[in-house]
Order: sequence, then structure tokens, then C-alpha cells
Amino acid sequence: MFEILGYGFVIKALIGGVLIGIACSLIGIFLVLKRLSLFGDGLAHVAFGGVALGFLLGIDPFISALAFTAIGAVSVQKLLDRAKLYGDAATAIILSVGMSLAVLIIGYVRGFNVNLFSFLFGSILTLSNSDLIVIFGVVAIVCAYVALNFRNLLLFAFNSELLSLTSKKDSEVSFYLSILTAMTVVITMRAVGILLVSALIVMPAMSALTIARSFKQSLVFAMLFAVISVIVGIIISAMFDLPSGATIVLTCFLIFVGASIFKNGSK
Amino acid sequence: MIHIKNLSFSYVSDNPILENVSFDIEKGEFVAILGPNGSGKTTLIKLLLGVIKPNTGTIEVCSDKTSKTGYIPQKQELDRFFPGTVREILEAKSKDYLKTCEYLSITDRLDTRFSMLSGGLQQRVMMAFSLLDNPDLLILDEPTVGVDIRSMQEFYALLVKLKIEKKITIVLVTHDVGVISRYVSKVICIKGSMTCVGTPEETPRLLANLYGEHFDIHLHDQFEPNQEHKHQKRH
Repeated sequence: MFEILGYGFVIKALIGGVLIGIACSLIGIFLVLKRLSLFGDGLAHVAFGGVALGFLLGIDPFISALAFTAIGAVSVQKLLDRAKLYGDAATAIILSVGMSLAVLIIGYVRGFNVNLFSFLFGSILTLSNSDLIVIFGVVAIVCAYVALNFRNLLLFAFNSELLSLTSKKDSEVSFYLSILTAMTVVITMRAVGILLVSALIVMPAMSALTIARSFKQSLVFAMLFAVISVIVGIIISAMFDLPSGATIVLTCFLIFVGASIFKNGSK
Repeated sequence: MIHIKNLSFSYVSDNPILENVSFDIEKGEFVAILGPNGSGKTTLIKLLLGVIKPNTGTIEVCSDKTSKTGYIPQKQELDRFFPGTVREILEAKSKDYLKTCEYLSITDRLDTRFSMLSGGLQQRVMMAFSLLDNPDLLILDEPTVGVDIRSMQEFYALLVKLKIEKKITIVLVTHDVGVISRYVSKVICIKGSMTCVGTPEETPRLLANLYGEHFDIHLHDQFEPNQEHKHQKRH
């Protein structure tokens, strides 16, 4: 088993995966509590449109996906705030629009379908040094925001009306959380692929919320579960030559099942 | 403490929620605001808290610039997965929360998940939250919806204690007409352009003016509209 740790690409995948797991779990707690679990999934489909657009225009697909996803995230917030749509309805609209754009672009320009598939299903074992730098930057921003705004984020998850009426910061928190989700989705699609992004965001958070006894504990548990899932998933996928994204997500699911059994057993 | 004069507000033009509303609330009063659903009670709270501005008229809340306003929202249907403890929620507002918790007898619940508390205790925590910055005015929006009658009475008794001991002015939006009449000093009934102000004993008359129908209200108890009268009206 330790032989695979001698490969540079495995070490890069582990470093990148752990960083991505930390960002996903931190964002995931707030999305799950605000009942926006599929927000990440919706943004991942928007990111797919951004990736396709990047290939079409000949620019770095990461940059186009980031810009596209950020616009999608802000659009969902506008649909929630202005049009007073339900969270799942707003997510469904943005998801469909993003995916439709991607399909249109793929239909218009044929020839880069193979590259697109690596974004659909993830390829964490092919992370480059520049990918790692981008991932590190995004994770640092997410961690810094959560640490510096922990009180407002907690109140936002608890009762956004109360935050709105007492400090009028709910719109600000909501906006930054959307942007950070967009950034997290873009780096996560590199690891598990667009189709499985929401799993890495939702499942470690849900496992932690099932057993945590405080808010801080839920954040720590979520990070721990995400990191364990990523490490175990990458090692197993490298050892048995399995798809890394799917292996990571199934490990997340096993942890969730374990947390649910532990919760029911301790009642 | 609160002076409202000829206040009007509408979210959509030509459909005013509140129209030409005027009333005063003096410092130290415990006032109940009553009115049917959709009468503009929650809008009035938003105006009092400064979240929205009136279209016309004036609203003056706590003219002293050092005065603070506390707010307790309706009892919320909290996600049972919300993991925050009472301590974490209070700490999110102020580090200096222990004295308030002792005053409200919730110190032994500090490390309990908020979502695990009973409705009455949850509202007590919300009260602690609103008292953390020593408000002069406390505004409550139907705080006892879904709370059992004993917890409700304890909650209102606590409000009276706050009014007497901390000299806090209390504005309570509620439907618990019968129950609150024993605690409040003034009742304000609103419905669009109609505003009636009176004592708790005058509540049946005020509501009759507002609804245009007679109510059998047993003060100090819950109330029900006069069923016979409603039945006749339907025919």
C-alpha cells in the first residue's frame, strides 16, 4: 500500500484532495442548514457550461468555469431575494440553463469531448502544480472567511431574519457564501467531477450534523470526515485502478451510514 | 419612546398595508398590538426596527441616540439538525452573556443544543439573546405561537419582570388576546387604516370596531369569535 505513496501524482492528489475536502465540508455545513444542499450540484452544472465555453474560446477552462459559476451563484441569490423563488426551484433553473449552454457549445464545436469528460467524472490523480496552487488559494480564502465571520455565519444558519433585523448583514453573508460555494465547486469538480460535486459538499456535512453536539464540533467533524473520505478514496482508487471520484464519494457514503448507525445506537 | 404620526406604507403602490396610522407609546409601557392576519403588524415591526422606511408620515423610536432596541422573532421551526448550543448562539452576539443567563435561569442549559430545547425554553433563550445589549425597548413578534399555556404564562410573567426591574418598554404583537390582557397596560388594534387604542379591559370593544362584528372575549383566557354571530353572518 505504501508503494503508491512513492508516486508524485498520488502525493499531489492527496494534498489537493485534503484541501478540497476542507473547503467542501466548511461550505457544506451552511448549505445543508440553509436547505440548499443541491446548490453545489446546480453550480457544478453551471461550471460545466463555463468549462465548455473556455474550450470554445481557447481560454483556461478553470478561469471560465470560475467566472461562469460565480455569475450563476449570484443569479440564484437574486432569484431567491428578488423573485422570492424557493431555493430548489432557483437551483433547478440555474442548473438547467448551465447544462443547456454546455450541450449547445458541445454540439456547436465537436472535438474536445474527451477533455470535457475529465471534468464530468473528475481526475484528481492528474492534478498539476498550478492546479494545486489554485486549490490552495481557494481553500485559504474559504477558511479565512469562515474564521473571520464565524459569528455572522452561525447566526445566518440559525435565523437569517434575526441577523437581518439586528445587524442587516444577512445579504452580505448570503452573497459571500454564494461566491465561496462557486469557487469551491470549481476546484471540487477537478477531484470528483461535476456529477459528484454535491456529494462531497453534502455528505461529510450531513454526517457531522448527525452526531455533533455543537456548531464548532460539526465543522471539525465535517472536515475530518471529508479528509478521511478523500484519503481513503484516493488510496483505494490508486491501488485498484478505480475511478477516484466515485471511490471518494462512496467512502463519504459509508461514513454517513456509520454516523447514522452511531447516532441511532447512542439514543 | 415611540411616536408614530400619520404613517402610511405599501409594498406595492395603490395597495397600502398601513394607512394614516398614529399612536404613541411612552417609556416603561407594556403594550400589546393586536390585529387580524395581514393587518400590517409585522410590517409595523419592520418599520419600528428601521428595516423599511414609511412612504409618508413620521416614526420616532427611542429619540435618545444611546437607546437600543431588542427584538424577539416568532418561534421558528428550527431544523432539528442545527447543532448550535445555547452558549454558541449567545456568544455570537456578545461574550458577556452569563449575567443575562443567570437572570433568565438558563445557565444550566448553556451547553445544550438549541434545537433540543422545549418551545418555552427556546423563547427564553431568544429573550436572553435580545437582552444582551441592554435594550430600552423590546419588540416581540408573536413569541408564544406553538408554546404550551404554562410556558406562555411564564414567558409573559418574565416580560412583566423585565418591565418592572429593568424599566424596559415592551411592544408585543400577539393573537393571545385573553391571556395578555392581564399583563399589558395598553392595547393597540390595527387594521390597515384603522387604529384603536385603549386599555386591556376595552379590548372587546376595540376588536369589535376593527372586525365589525361582536366577539365573546373572556379576558384572562383564550378567545373565540362569537360562533353564533359568524353562523348568522354566513347566511
